[in-house]
Amino acid sequence: MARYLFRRIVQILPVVLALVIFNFILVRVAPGDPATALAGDNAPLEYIEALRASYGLNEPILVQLSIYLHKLVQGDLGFSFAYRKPVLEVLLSRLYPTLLLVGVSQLIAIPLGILLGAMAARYRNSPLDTFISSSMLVLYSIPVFWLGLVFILFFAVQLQWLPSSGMMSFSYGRPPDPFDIVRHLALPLSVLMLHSLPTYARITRESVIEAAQDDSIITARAIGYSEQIVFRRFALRNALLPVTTVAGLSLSSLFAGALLVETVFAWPGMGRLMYDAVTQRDFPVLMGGFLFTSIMVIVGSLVTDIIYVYLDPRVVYK
Amino acid sequence: MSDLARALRSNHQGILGLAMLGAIFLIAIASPLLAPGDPFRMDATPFLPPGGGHLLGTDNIGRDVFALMVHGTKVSLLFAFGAAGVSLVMGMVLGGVAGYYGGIIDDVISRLSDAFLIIPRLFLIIVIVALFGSQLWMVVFVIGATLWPANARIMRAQVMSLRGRGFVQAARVAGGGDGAIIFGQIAPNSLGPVLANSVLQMAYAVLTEASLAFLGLGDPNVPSWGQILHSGQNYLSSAPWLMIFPGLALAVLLLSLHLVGTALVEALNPKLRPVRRVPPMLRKPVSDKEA
Repeated sequence: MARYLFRRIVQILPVVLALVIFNFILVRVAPGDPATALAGDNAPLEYIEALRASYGLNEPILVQLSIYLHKLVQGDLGFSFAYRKPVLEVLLSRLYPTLLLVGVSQLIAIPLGILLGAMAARYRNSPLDTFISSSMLVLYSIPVFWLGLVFILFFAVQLQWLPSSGMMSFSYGRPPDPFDIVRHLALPLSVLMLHSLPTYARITRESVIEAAQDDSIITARAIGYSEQIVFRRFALRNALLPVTTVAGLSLSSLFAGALLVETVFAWPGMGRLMYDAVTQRDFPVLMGGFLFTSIMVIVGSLVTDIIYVYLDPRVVYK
Repeated sequence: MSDLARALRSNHQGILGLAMLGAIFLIAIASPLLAPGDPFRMDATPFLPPGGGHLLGTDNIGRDVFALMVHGTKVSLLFAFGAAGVSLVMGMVLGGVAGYYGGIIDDVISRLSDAFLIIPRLFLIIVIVALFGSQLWMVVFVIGATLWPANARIMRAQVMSLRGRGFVQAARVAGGGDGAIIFGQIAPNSLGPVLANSVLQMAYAVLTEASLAFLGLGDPNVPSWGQILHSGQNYLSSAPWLMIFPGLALAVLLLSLHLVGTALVEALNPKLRPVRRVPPMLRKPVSDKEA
């Protein structure tokens, strides 16, 4: 297992390096002065000049690249003038709200999606299947930011049950109240959960149906296992593997969804930070956020690969 | 092919999707008739509710929402076909070349497509638009250029399974060059799965354009549904119609593309086709008395 892990980590390094170089090229080929792009729009002139020197922007391009890589390895993603803090510090301060939102939404969406998909497959072509499948398809077609707006209109504006934005109410120096955070989390969490749900339900349904046509099912039935056991122990279990793969592949769409949901609900996570960086033309935060999110997605898909190996005894890791 | 046609015809969802898509097309084509003149003109009272002279009301600066919506249809369809088209061409060329030549070319293209599949696409597109601006055609191209790996993968697999077939060898014996073989012989025979995927990519392109416009990163010179949502989100309680109609329109277009795309994918994958004979374990459980 340790060797497998090591090999996988060695495999993702070139991807990360390619990403960093790509980031570097983007800033260089973008219209305008790369120093301005590296500093962001609110930086003072002296700082831009200092940056030009420290990034060696008058040097040949390969020297610039090595300076850039050197800074990145040291964790220096630049300085944000909008926040008057190093970019890495700004990003890390927004990490927890995003992970809370993304993590809890998936903890609900994955089991619920599997349950709905398995039920639809078990009673394929029944009214229950039709209902689950079509409602999942409709849900899948609703843009997540619009679902957010509809939820705000309904639950926050009309019914006034829940707050529509932010992570906590102003507490004037009192410690944050966990219940208050839960109330603020409820709407963005439900929206992001509903955004992920159809993907899991659909892949579960499809793979259970495919698994149910496998020879192992015929054998299991021939042995005399009851339909209930055949379904649970053979069809559903085999079908969970594609679900793991899809969960890994949909990480980037999950973070995209989180960005939009955080923007709609002013949830103070990394997505909202990226949105604010766009409107303030705070390029260091924008580029840093992109790099940081990409690395999170890459690491996340590595984790799902490992879970896959763990779930499927047929896969030998070496 | 007749099998495929039959599978498609028997798929009611696919037909429903095609009908919805057709209606949206008609609206886009008839947009100069439905809403003549410049949709951006501000000649009405702001915040008029739907009904009366303005079917869907007016927005915060006195523009007719119906006119904006009708003209916005064109932008959504442009992104659907433009970006999916770019992705289709890039995917078929890169996937075809990778599958046909193999070796180091295949390795390079495959690693590149792995990298593109894993990075958060929307974030990349946001960064590019923030740095390079939001000109319509550039964004169409950028979205398409982030979508090609899925098509390339399908194409590559098709080429690898087809390149040893008799008709390909016959073409080679007849003196066909590599290009003629990949694009004249193999590509037409692998178009089905790539096209099915392209329909689903059209939905992704529409959604991405709407997301960008909603974030305020759309081209400000063309009306789009996302743009109306962007300005409408500030008036949720006072003018909810600004956010309800464009969102519904988006959902309908996305739904129609998903219906058609899923129908194509199902028609091409026999295991997922709606079956007459339901395998025993997928039948409704029968109680002991009935059995």
